[in-house]
Amino acid sequence: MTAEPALLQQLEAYRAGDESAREQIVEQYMPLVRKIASRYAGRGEPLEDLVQVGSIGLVLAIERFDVDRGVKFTTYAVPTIVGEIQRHFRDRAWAVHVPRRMKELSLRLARTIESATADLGRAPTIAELAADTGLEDEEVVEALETYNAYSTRSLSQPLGLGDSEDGTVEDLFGAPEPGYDEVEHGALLETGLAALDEREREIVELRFFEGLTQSEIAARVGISQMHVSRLLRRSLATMRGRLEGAATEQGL
Amino acid sequence: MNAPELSDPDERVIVEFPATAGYRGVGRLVLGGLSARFELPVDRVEDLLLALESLLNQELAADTATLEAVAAPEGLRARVGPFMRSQVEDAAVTRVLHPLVDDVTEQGGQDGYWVELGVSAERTAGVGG
Amino acid sequence: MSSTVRLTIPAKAEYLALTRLVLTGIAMEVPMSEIALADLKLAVTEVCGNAVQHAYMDDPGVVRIVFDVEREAIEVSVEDEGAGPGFPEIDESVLIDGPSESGMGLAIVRAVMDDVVIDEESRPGTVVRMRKQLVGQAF
Repeated sequence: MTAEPALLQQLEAYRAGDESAREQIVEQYMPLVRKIASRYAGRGEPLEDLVQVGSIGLVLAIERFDVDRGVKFTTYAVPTIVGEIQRHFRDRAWAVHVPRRMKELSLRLARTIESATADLGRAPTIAELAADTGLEDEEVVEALETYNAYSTRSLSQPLGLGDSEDGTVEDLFGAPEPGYDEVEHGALLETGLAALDEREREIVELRFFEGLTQSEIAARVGISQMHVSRLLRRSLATMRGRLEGAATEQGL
Repeated sequence: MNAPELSDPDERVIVEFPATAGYRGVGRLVLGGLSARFELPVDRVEDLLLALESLLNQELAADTATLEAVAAPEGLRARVGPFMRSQVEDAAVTRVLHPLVDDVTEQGGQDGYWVELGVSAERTAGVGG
Repeated sequence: MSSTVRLTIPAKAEYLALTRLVLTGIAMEVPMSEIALADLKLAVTEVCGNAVQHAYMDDPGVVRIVFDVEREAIEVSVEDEGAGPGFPEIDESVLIDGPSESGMGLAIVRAVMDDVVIDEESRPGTVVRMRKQLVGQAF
């Protein structure tokens, strides 16, 4: 394949500081993103949204691809792109009463956060994001909120994946285990943790027990920072619900 | 309002909204809007909003939640309340709050407990509209 | 059954964005068309902007905005502490000199809100009360 040596050159140029090289790589691999995204189309999510989400995965892959591993870039990029789309797709709890435009902006913002974080060595400020995207500060704030807003009502709604696969978001993420009702005062936080799925638990532990920043967690886990933020917010709500349930059982 | 005041009352923003899950977005958006005036990386802004969200999950002593915030020169300060119980004495709450913001203090008033969150940051040069 | 959101901001231009952000927050809970939300943001910006413009430079004071949210309508009242001329109605002079900025602003507000009442008499400062139906609109 002749594509790969050219890619490696571009990556080298990018890592050496040539940002336009990254844009070239993105352009080159957008057809791959579209191809993957189109496999998930027709389930209620607009293709353009899926492509946008997929492109976040592409940017992540470009940032994290390790040339020395001896793996082809495509081999690395495909699961990263698929992962972002699947994660987005599972978040059916997302976007209650959210205008179309806000949805698009927030996806664009998620991608800009990833590339700006790579460029700056830290997460961008709201003002920097506004400058990068040509939005007003207030639009950036709204887009961040849009991405994180969810409805707990939606957690129990069917995903609509088709008869054979259907279930609820709770099924996907794991409902609290029945019969788990050991509550000690000091262990309340741990009780809450039991209600989370593995990914959410890992992120909560990294944030609150190991003290990593959201950006660091994103880099460690291999997902976008906005996704980390959303998962944290939802995790806290889930944990809270679990704690209330446990407290009620104990007659507290 | 019985609660003691934040510094610099001339720059104070107060927002009151129903103490229901559906209206928390109002609080988050206002606090997010104020955060834009600081050199705060967006993940720290998200942390602050997460701290606010966690607090708003706790039981309030009134039907209305109040958020007061000041974009002070040394950083952003936000006070939330009134809570039914002390939040700083709740290990589960402080465990979550402390990594998210730079300081957490609490004051008890006649109407309940008020938690103040502080995030140190520099103001962005050139304040927008 | 109504809900109330109250916002108090310093009467300075840099705080106007917060009034729009509150509306976005309300729209997350109360369904409304994108156009209705845009209209509300426009009206609130005009009215609060006017209050900010007429505030005293040395002692700007505050602007208090109250959003009363009913199931199908929203009522917004904006109260300032009253330094300036408030909100003039468009009158004959407009036709000669062209609309003043405040006159134009008020025309915009009346165009996008269903009902607008300006009260400059009962207390120092101006109170503008506006109402908008959220349901039964064209879109």
